[in-house]
Amino acid sequence: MLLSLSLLGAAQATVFVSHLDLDEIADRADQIVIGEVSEVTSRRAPGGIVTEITVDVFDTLLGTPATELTLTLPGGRVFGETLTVSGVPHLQVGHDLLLFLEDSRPVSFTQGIFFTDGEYAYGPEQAPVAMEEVRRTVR
Amino acid sequence: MQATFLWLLSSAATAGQLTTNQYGAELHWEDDYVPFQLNPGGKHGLDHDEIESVVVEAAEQWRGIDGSWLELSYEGRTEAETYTSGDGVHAVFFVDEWTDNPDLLALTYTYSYEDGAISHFDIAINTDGHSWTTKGSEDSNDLLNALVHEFGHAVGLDHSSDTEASMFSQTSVGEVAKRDLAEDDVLTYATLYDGYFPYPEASMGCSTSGGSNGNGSSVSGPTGAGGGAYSPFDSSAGCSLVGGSGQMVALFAGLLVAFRRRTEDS
Repeated sequence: MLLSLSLLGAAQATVFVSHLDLDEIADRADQIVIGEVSEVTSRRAPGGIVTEITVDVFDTLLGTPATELTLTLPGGRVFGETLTVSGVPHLQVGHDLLLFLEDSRPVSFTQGIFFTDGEYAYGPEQAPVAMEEVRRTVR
Repeated sequence: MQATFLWLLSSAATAGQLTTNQYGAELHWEDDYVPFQLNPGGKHGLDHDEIESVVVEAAEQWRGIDGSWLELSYEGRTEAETYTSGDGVHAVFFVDEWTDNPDLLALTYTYSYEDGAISHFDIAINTDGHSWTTKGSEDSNDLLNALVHEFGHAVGLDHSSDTEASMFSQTSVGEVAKRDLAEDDVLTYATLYDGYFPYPEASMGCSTSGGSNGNGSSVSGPTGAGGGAYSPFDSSAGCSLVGGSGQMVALFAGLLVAFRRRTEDS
């Protein structure tokens, strides 16, 4: 448990934006899903680099049921050039996520992105939350 | 003795984090000279000269750390307004039509090589639905408060869990408390740049042999990441050879900040 906490602690938080607690994040979300990152692809975009993260959805807790969704986050790696955007976590294939989405984007930049080990969810600048509690709160 | 040593090490621990790129390498500058420019245009209603003063002051917070060799140098105004590395201009600019998440106040975009060496940065300030002030107004976001934070990202720092640190990830309208670096900011900066001194023997006139990089290996000159243990804080001695670890350097930096704050308070 300590190991996973320290590893997940490396996930970055939001960028100089007002902090939302879990209830506020959940209130703003129109879709809440649990899934696993299945593909990460960076590409050049006007002005920089963006990364598309495909998530295989296991469970939809709120909103339109989905089996797969794609997040587009700023930053990424293309041909050896790396763009790092403060506050954006480096998501990798295999990461298990709890996602709070608003208009198909994570709530409040990356505050809506939580890592999960199945038992707990770990969000940026948040105390670990039991997944059972998340499910109870949402449903 | 052992207890004292452990206390010293634990005291030097920082809440601040270093930014890593997608290769897992810590972002850092290897060049000591880092020019940047300002595009003051935008629908923010602020005086351009005042913005310029604030931008320079924000960079000076980091440049002014005692012994810091990183020279963030203001090079005047620019028309640049995109976060691309292709223009070659490290720019601070305002964005009136913000396409990222509207909750964001500002973003720092940092390009780096595989080893983490930073090649380019841009700082974008969100004016789309967010008001800004250069005078500390309580009903607007303080530009200096935000830019000190963003320049911290530009030199390689990530967020800190220390709520008093400029690198703490959150702010509120009217906040000005993060205009000045906190001890944790300086400690984290020292941890990052402990091993990146570009011209030690030539400019500092001292031998570097016999030092340690904190990992138990000998230091015989400047290297890149994980290299020598030059302290960026020991300017008075003419050279900054430190035989201990980066943590000890960070401790010294912290004590210096604490001393200064006490002096200012008294």
